[in-house]
Amino acid sequence: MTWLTPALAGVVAALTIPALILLYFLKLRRRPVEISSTLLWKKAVQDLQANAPFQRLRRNILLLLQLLALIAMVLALAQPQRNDLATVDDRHVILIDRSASMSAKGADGRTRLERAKEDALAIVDAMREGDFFSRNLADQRPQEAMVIAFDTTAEVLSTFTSDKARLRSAIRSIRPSHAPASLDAAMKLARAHAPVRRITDTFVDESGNPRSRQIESLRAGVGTIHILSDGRLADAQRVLAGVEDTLRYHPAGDPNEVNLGIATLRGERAYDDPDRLSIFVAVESNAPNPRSIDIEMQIADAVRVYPLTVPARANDAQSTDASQGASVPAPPSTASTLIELTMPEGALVEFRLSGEAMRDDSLAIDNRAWLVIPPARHTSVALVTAGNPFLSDWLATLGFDRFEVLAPDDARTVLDEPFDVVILDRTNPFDDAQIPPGRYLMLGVLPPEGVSSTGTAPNAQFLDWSREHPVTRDLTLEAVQIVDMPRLTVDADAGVRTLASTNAGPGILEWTAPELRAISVAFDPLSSTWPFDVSFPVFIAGAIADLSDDDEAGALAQLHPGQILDDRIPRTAGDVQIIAPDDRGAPTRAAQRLTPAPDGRIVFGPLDRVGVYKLRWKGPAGAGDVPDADRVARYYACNLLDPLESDITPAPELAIASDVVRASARERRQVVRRYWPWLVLAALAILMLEWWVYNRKVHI
Amino acid sequence: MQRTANIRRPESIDELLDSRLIAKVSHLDLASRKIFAGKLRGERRSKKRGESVEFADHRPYALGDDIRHIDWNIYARLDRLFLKLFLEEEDLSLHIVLDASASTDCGEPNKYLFMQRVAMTLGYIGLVNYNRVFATIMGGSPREGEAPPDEPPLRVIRNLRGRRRTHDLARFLCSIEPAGPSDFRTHARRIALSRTGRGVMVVLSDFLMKEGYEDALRLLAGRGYDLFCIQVLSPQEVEPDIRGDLRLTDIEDADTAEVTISAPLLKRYRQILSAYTEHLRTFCARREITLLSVQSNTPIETLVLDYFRKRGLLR
Repeated sequence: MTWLTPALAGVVAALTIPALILLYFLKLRRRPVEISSTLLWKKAVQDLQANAPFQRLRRNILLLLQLLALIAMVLALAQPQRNDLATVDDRHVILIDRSASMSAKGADGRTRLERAKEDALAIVDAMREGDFFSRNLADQRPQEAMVIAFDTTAEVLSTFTSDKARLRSAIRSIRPSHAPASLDAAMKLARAHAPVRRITDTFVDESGNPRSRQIESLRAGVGTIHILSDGRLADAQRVLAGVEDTLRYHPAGDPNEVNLGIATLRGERAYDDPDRLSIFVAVESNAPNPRSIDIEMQIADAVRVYPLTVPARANDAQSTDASQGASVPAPPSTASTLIELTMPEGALVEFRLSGEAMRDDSLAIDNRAWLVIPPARHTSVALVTAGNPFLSDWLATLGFDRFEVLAPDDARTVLDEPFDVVILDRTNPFDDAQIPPGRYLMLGVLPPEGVSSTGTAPNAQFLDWSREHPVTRDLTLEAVQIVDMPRLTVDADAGVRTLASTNAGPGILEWTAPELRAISVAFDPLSSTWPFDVSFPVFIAGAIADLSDDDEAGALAQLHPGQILDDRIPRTAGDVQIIAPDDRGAPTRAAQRLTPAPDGRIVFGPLDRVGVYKLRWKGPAGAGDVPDADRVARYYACNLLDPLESDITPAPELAIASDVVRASARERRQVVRRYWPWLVLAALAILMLEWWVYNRKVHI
Repeated sequence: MQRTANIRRPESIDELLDSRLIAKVSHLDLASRKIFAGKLRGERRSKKRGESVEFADHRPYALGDDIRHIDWNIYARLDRLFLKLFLEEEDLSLHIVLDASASTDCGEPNKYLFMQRVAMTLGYIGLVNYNRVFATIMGGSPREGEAPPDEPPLRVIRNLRGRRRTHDLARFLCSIEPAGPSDFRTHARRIALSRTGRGVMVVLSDFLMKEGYEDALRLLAGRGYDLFCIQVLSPQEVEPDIRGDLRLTDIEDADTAEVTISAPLLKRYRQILSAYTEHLRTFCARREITLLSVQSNTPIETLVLDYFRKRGLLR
């Protein structure tokens, strides 16, 4: 029990109670009336007094009752309030996880998010409230809270406020998302709202006068941070809590909840035979027993079923991370299957998990996944060379559907036809600035912009290359010796980046411009030992594959919830619309209009639902796009495919970088109760009693 | 209960006794339980034998008898001394005692005015019937312009007889207005000592006397009067109409009582009033005093023609 305004009540009590007693000692002013005889009246009054019990008490009972009523009112003025002892900080940040795993349904049919929202409402209810009066009079400030909902991104739904109605409506407005969770983003957002600490510095200025100035110091602690989550937070280990912050973890979910979900889905066309399609599906299960399920694959209206048995999860015995002292639940078990198809045409493939064993599945989001398969692509390659029989012969054996060797002079006209990849072998048939849109592998040719040469180095060797880029990641370049290596400086702002660098500077570059992508080898391969190294054909093949695949990158690559759809469509496309899926993966009715950037780039997102996103526009179609009535459509599959989110076993504790936060016991929160209305009611009741007594009693 | 507002004092007989009432009461006469019943105009046979023209009986002379009453004719005939006994002729006296204490100057209608009217009516009946009428006013003060009566505070008018004296009686009744205490006991003793004849005595008062009425009534009852007490209370005294927190001041002795009027108090007041009246009634009944409790709003006609006749004061 706390008193919000005891000082005010004390002042009022000190004024009113003596005043009441003083008033009581003043004699009642009676109306004088002359009557014929007081004989009978005196007798009556005496009789009545003699008859009434508790004379002494009765004489003072009015004063007693008035005092009681006054005390009740003064107490009401002090605004007593019962508070939750567990929440002492003045500021609370409520982080509510709305990620995919929070959509898991418990045994009672409610999702974890719903339960977390209830917990959050209980926290809000337990907050100490403010009072009627200004802050100056109040001895205790009301507690404030901020509501942040987070999945991959975090969103402030309510900034710090003590308005409980606003907080409640903010909490109730949280909708589940299908994106994975990132605690780091939420914590950063929360800490950004920490108040800035101001320090008043007193100093003596030049003229010797003492002055003071305010200095903004580091941010203070943000208060108590409540994390309402199931603990499936991939980046928890990166999160660093502030020294002054108190972290409380309110776990949601039941460890016995079972989930089977598609954890991996990948479709690939064979390199040598694009018609052959292989699809890899992996299913993850945290069930304690083996489950036999069916994977339904639906292409157009045809459904094929692939049975799969997922083993039981490893024994419940939990492995312990010794360094943190955090116990980690056993990882879920997985089973996978490879589906081989011959399918030259493009298709939208839907996968569903079904069967009897899926009955107690808690999370529906990961039971379905989609794959957008582009039509089999037949690569066409042009080699522009002044004469390089070695290269042209070798490329001819690689089995491209179309391969042509062009002389530099012919190239300008012939290249109007679309080739997937054009190889410029030590010659650039175009004016530097006017390379037409397309994909280029430039051997001994520098990008016309973003690179400046400052002479040559007589001898050079590769020192480092990108291990992530698909072109260079499989190469081994230490052995390559380069003669006449141009010394280059690269301007990253112009879209040029270095894939491999030598001791004399960048060796292999990637150049990206609107509707143009090129991989450039800065030196002449023939003036190096590279053509004799096995890494050279690997590089050429990889570069061609990467460049030719680039068109379909948006289509085959899968999106995940929380990501941003970022793609290019033809520059002349108009009336661009996107149709997002609804909660169950079915397309929504309403199409959203998008405005592409001048270079045809469209951005949409972050995607909050799994399913198929359909982008359509009026205008020319790109490779792999399908006609859709009078428009052109392009499909994007957005799948959860997140083993961490699919493993819905709630974490009993949250291991962050600085600490391990144990789950707060599910304490019964004390709802804040204000007692003053009851006190006012009591005062009213006492006043009524006093009135009744006054009317009953006779007083001399 | 409270002092009557805007009281208009009566000036003459017309304001005390209107002609309509005169017509109704003129056939009435006083009656007394202690007197022989008989229908003789102007005089009454007394039970007592005495000096009168009407012979009653003879009795033998005893030593000490008045020799003037010896019947000499019997002596001549029988040679024995007999006394002639006559029925004594007594005229009935009506003594009206009026309480003019300040407490009677209260109520709506005014109690004193009511008592004045009753006194005038009874006095008129008495005078008309050739009874000897006495009137005594206890307490009060002479009205302005009136000659100060003989010996204040006892104001008495004596030996009125005959219709001609009605105006004297009326003037007397109008000359005094209520003031001060009544001092009933002192007055009663004086009345009792100055015995002026037997007959009917009517005491008009509210009997709200702090010193008590018992001694006074005992004195009056012991003198052989056929005593009638008429207790006049105002309707406000029977059903008080005052409310609130009050300081009640006694109009006579300025005694105060602070009361907060409440339902239980009113209930208690009523109980006490009825007990008081009941005590008066019991006291009177034990001494053969006829008590009549009336409220000042009772019509005089009803009182005279109905109540008084039922109680045997008039016939």
